Amino acid sequence: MVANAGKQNAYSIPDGYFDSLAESVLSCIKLTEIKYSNPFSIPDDYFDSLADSVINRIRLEEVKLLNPYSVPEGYFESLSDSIISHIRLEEVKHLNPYSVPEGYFESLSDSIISRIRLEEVKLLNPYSVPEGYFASLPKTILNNIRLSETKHSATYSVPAGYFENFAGSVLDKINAATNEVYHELSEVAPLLNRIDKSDIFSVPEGYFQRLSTTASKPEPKTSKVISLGGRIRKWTTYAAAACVLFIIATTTYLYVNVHGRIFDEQLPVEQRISQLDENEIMNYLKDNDGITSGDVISTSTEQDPAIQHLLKNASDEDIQNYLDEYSDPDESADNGI
Amino acid sequence: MQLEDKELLQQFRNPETKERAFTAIIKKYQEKLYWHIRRMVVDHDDTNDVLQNMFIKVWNGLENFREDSQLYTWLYRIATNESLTFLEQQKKRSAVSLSDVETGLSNKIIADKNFDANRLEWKLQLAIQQLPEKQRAVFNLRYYDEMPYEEMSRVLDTSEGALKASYHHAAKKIEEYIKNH
Repeated sequence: MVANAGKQNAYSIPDGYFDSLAESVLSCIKLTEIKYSNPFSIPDDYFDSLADSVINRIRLEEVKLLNPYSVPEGYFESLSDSIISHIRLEEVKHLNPYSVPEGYFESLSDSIISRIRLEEVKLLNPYSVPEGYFASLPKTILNNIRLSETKHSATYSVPAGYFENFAGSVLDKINAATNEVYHELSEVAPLLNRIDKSDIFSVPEGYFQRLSTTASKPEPKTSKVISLGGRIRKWTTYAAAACVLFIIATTTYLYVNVHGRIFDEQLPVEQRISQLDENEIMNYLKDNDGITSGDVISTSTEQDPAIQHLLKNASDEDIQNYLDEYSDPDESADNGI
Repeated sequence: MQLEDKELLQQFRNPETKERAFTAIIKKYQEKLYWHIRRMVVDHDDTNDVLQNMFIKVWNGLENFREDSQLYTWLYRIATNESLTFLEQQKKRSAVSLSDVETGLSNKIIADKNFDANRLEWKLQLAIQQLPEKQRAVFNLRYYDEMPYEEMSRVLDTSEGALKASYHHAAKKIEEYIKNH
């Protein structure tokens, strides 16, 4: 058994070990050979200065660790908050709550330039000032002040309504001096002088323009308007006179019979009255209150029927001929003159 | 006489220029005469009738005008007489008393479209109507037309002294009326 146990291998080996063994031994041999051939170059005296450069670098690192600057107390604790605040402030700056008119910035430059030119023009004064004006100005102002103080302290009084009535009283004086009628009324009835004399009745529009046109050509004499009222009144006057005479006669007769007075018996009353002059009869009629020829014939409609009948069929020529024959010589075309 | 009136009279007496002269006379005096008549008779239509009758008489009588007074004095005389005659006729035609005629004229004044009872000028018109007709004419001629008494005596055929007294009396009566109304 021990003879057979020596011949079996207890150790394991990777698969394919012996197959790749030769290649791996050869690779090691080549690698050893390369090791001894160096492809890299190094500066001259590199290794000689290497120790010094390493020592300097070590010292520099040691110096860096030593800090000569001081820092305020609590600086680092508040540093983060401060940085954050600065950041937020910068952010807020970019948010603008103000509005600007449209086109403001476009016209800003022109506006500024215009203002500058205006300021320049103001400095050029086109106005002149009298010589010595400013020198005497304080004195002038003081004088004006004293003058106004004097006015306010005036001691004279003025009657109430003086200035309101001043113009009227001046006119009154002028009129009194020049106008005889005004002066006369101021003594007799002064109130009438204060009344406006302008015409106050209403007049139809255009009346005076029409008047001169319509009245400029009156009708010829042959066809003039005859006032028949006056002629007829004469007839009625006679008729009325006759009535009155009858009344007087009757009254007298009755009166005589009642009172026994004796008149001239040679002539009847009627005859005596008939001998009276026409003017005496007219005067009697006028002197008696309310008894006038006009009152007897009160309206035009009460004309004597006999006269109406006479005039009914009469032509203008006939009337004119009658009037010419029986017209009163005292009456003329200018009636009342 | 004013030169212009003289010329007008000459033209009137010339048949070729008679109508033109007459028109010129009317235009020259129409308003003055109108208002003189109107203040007497009040009503416009009545004034128109009187004024037209007056100018017809002027046409008929101007040729015989003797020129011993001013033309306007003569015109005023005719106008005044025509007004007085009209008022007299009106009184007789309507068969009312004198006071009723005055009331009628006062009513015509009140009926005028411009009438204002608070104005002194209208009170004056009402006061004038209270006067007798001839005194009314005296007052109007002196107060409104400022006619000298000498001319007025030719217009009204009354002495200057009587006219002055009448005017003063009328003025006092009117002033009293206005104060009491």
